[in-house]
Amino acid sequence: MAHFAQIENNLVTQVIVVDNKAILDGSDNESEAVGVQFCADLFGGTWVQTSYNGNIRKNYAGVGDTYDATRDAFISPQPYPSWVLDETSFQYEAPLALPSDAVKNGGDTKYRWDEATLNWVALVD
Amino acid sequence: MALQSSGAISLNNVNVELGNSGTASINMGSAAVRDLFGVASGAISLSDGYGASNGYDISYLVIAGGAGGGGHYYGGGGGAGGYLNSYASESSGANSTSLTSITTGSGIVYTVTVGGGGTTGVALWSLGGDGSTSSISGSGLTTISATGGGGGGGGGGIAIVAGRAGGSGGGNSSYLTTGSAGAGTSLQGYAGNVGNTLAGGGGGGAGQLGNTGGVLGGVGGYGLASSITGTSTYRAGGGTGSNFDNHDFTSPGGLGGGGVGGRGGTLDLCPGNGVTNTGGGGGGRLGIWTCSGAAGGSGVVILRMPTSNYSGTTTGSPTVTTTGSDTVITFTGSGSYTA
Repeated sequence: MAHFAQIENNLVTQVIVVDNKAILDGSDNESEAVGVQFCADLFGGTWVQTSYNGNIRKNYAGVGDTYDATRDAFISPQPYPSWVLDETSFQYEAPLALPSDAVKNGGDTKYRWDEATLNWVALVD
Repeated sequence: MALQSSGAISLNNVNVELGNSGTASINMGSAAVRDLFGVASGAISLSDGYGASNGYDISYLVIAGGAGGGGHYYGGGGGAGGYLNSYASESSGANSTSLTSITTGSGIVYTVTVGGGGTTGVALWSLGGDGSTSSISGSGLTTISATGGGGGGGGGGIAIVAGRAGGSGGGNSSYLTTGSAGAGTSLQGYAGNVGNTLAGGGGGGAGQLGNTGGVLGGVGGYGLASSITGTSTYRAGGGTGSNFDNHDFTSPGGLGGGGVGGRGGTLDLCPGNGVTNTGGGGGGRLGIWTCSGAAGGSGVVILRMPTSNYSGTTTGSPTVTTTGSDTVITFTGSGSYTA
């Protein structure tokens, strides 16, 4: 199955499923252009293909995400004003790396981000 | 629309009932008119057409995309997609009364939208994404629209990561603080539920409230069973919340396609996606960073009608089967049916 995102003012408003057979071109190859036209004929509007597994355009599109045409990527909303976009993963990352004892780094301490102090705060179970 | 039951019926009325232009040429002795009026042979008059209808009923099951599970830590399960059912007096979403089927005339085009599943919560404390709407629209029909499942809450119960409302609501985790789960949409699905200190709450299903998290993640709420395809199948189960780190057990996904919750400990189990074309919610994430996450399952739209009325005109490559005297059109992708 293929997935297509409807875009309005660069925002994703819905993500729909389209059968792979509906996006075949004259040579029986899957074609984004055919899929986009199929969606436009059915619903109108502007459509961009996305991938459930994140294989194209960096991330699977979600409702409320931004489609950045320049980067050709779907980007989730910025969680905090201080977080910056990683230009490889196209995910927002904190401006400060997680401490070395964080779970992500193999430790057992869990942290949450505190935007007021722009720092990680350890959580105590 | 049936022809009127009294007064003068015009040829224009008969044409429209047959799906023709009102001004088209028409022969009262034609097979189409005789079929419509129920007069196989002999004399035929316009009054024979009182109450005659060329229409037929289409039963439907519309399920929106399920939501993604919440992100680290102890994310809540995603809510199932909204569930709308008109088939054979079966329950509709949130165990509500079966809906009224579509009564159609020939030539009407019904556009079918199949909503995608929501994204997983990736970053720390992030929400799962909502599922997308599935719907049926067409001339003379109030659009039948099922709401996408509500995203599972990410990690602890801080306000920005509480489970979201949706067709069924997203579960939440109460990690160290009090969180809230997402509400379900009336007549479509149930709310999610809250977690416990170290376990995410279950996402709501079409047939049951999400379960609370305890030591284990809260199991997603049940979906509902429908036999619209000829086989009883559960769909639209909620995603399950993530487990406490040190328990080597897994909580299954909500019956009907909900994703299993993630967990740590020695199993290091990644959460499961909602099952494709069930509208199931995705499982919540734990602190396993190599997991790719748990997105919601895509939705589905199923139509069922007497085979004698099935037109054979579709777009979008749905699967067409028969069961008994009925034809079933299963749209796992968007498309249309022309009655």
